[in-house]
Amino acid sequence: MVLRIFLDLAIIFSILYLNWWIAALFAIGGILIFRNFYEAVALGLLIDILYGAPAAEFFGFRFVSTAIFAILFVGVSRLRENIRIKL
Amino acid sequence: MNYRLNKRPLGSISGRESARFKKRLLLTVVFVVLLYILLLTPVFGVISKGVGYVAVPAWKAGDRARDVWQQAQMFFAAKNALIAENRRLKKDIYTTSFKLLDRNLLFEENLELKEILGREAFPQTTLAAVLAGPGRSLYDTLIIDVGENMGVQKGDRVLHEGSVVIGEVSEVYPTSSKVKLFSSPGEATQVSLGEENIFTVAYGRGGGNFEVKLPRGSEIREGDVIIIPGITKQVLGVVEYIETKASDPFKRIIFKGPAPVFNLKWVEVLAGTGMDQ
Repeated sequence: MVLRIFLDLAIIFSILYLNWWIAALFAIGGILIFRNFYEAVALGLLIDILYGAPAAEFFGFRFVSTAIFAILFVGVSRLRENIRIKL
Repeated sequence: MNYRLNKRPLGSISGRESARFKKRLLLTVVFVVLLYILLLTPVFGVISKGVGYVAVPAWKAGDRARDVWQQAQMFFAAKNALIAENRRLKKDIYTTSFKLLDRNLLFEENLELKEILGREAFPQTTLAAVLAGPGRSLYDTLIIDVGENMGVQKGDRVLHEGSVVIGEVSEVYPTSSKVKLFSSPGEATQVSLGEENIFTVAYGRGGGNFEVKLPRGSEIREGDVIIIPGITKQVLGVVEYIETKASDPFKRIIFKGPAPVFNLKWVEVLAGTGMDQ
């Protein structure tokens, strides 16, 4: 539980001060380590709230990061079911 | 030989599968409801404002911490390196000041002429510090430290060093604003380029880059300035590369804005250019 909270804080820190892909790496780590790491999608939403603007390339859709983090969540969760992680 | 008996009738699902199905259905419903709330109600604006209240002080604290760290690094930097850098910078200032003399004279003359003709060239500008830049997200946006408190309005143009236009305000919060850069992927901007003042549309390619397509016969050279037309011409970029293919009747012009969008510290918000005007 402590590790999970620590990881959440690390992701929030990287969203605020570091490049977005560092937050994405932390999120992938979280999804791999913990069951149902829903925070990943919520943190994608945080990126959209903080920095997002309707993107012309995505037909005005403004939740690109949320969509990417949701896809990551589903994909990596599936991967997690097929591998064993020991901490 | 023994065979496993399947006691469950064909088509029925076990209790575990049923529970999993119910859980997935619940999650889907929650997701759709959240999507509806975020996209079709004003709740998103309220959440954005709330998050802004928390994030702005955090960004400011981060900036302060970075300044302290840089000062500490300077303290330990080699003395000789600092002296050499100081000499180089003084030389740069000396040469640039002469180049600027002519430019400043022409600029003042230009402003005076516009005033005589009854056209206000420059509305009021507000200096703003950049709290977060494009590298922190997939979006080409800036977060600046002025908002409703300084009269910033949605649609206000944002400049760098007075004459380079970089984007416009897309969202205004009480103490901060979000600036959408013209170089955002797919963003279309009306521009004029070359000596012939060709009017066309430039499309953003992200990270301060743009692309324009023109007929092959157009007189465009590398180094030509691209401007946003208006009473005061604002520079958007300089042509860096022209791609011409024998099979293509158009040439592709790639250009970059002079402002370093990933390392911006200060920008100016041009008041009175927003949508509310």
